[in-house]
Amino acid sequence: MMITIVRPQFHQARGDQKEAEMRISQAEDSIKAAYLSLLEAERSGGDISELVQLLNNALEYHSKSNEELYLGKYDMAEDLANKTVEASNTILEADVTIKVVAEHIEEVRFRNQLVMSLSIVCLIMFFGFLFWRKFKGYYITRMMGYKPGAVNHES
Amino acid sequence: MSLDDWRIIFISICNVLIISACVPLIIASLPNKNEPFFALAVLGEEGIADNYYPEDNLNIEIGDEVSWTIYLYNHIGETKYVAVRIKLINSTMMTPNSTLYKPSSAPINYEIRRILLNNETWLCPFSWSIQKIEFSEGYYVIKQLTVNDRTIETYVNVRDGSNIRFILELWLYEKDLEDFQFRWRYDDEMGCVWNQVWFNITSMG
Repeated sequence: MMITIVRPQFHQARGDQKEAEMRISQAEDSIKAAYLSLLEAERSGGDISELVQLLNNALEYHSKSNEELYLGKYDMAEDLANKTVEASNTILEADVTIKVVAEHIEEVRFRNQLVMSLSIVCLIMFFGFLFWRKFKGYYITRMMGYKPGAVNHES
Repeated sequence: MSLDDWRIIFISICNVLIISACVPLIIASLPNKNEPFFALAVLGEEGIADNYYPEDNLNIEIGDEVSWTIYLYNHIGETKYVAVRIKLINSTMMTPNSTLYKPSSAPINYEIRRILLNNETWLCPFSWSIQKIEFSEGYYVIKQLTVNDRTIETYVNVRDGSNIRFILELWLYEKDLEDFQFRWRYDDEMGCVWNQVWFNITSMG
C-alpha cells in the first residue's frame, strides 16, 4: 500500500530541508523511470509481477519519506528517498535481463509455432496425396469396373 | 459423383485442415483486443457496498472515524501507474467533468499511488475523520481532518454542514506527457473515472 500526503504543513526552513526535498524529487523520477522500463519489458512479453511488487515497495518508501518531510524529520526523509532510488535502480537492472529473456522466449515461441504449423501442413499434404491415390484407384476399380492399368491405357 | 467431384471435395477438406493447422499461428500474430476500462469504487466498512457511516447514519460528528475501502481494478490491457486523488468539497464546488476529462478544481487533500498490473484488483483502506471546524467570515470551515492516521490541513466552507462530499479521482501516469492525467488512454480509446460519497456534519464545534 502506498500513501502520500500532498499538502504538507509549512515548517521552519532548515539547511537540509532542501536537500531532502531534492532527494525525494529524484526518488520520484527514479520510480517513473523504473515504471516505464517495466512497461517496456511487459510489452516484450516478460513476467514483471515480482518487479511490480518491488516497485510498490519503493512507492511505499517514497510515501514515508514524504511523511517524514512533512514532520520535519529531514534526515529520515532523505534516507527513505535513498532507499526508494536504490529499489528503483534494482528494478532497472533486473528489467534489462527480463526484457532480453522475454524477447528471446517470444521469438522461440513464434518459431516453434511456425515450425509446428508447417509440419502439420506438410503431413496433411503428404497423407492427403497418398489417400487420394488410393481412393482414385479404388474409385476407378470399383465404380468403373476396370483395372487401373487398363483405364490409364484407355484414357 | 464423378471423380472430378470427389477431387473438389478432397481439395476442400485438405484446405480446411491446412487452415485449421495455421489458426494458432494467425491468432498469435493478431493483437489482443479487449474493451479497456478502469474501475474505481468506494466500499463500506466491511469491504461491501454498505455500512458507509458509523451506525449507518450519514450525519457525522466531529471526531467520528469513518472507515471505507477504495477498490481499484485495472482492465486497460497493461500495467499502469495510478494515483487516486482525494478531494473534500462542498455542495457548490465543481465535480469532475467526465465528458471533457476535466478534474475537479478543488485542491488535493490526499493521494494514494500504486502500480497496478493488468487485471489486478487492489483494495486500499481509507479511514477518515473531521477534526476541526471553525467559524470564519459567515461560514463554517473544515480546517483539519485525519486520513489513515495522518493529520491534514484543509479549507472547505460548509454553510450548514450538509451536503459535503469526498471526490475520488483516478489519475494515470502518461509516458508522453511525463505526468499524471485525469484520464486513461489505450490505442484509440479514452476514458476517465471518478467517484463521490456524500455526508453531513451535525455538530459544528
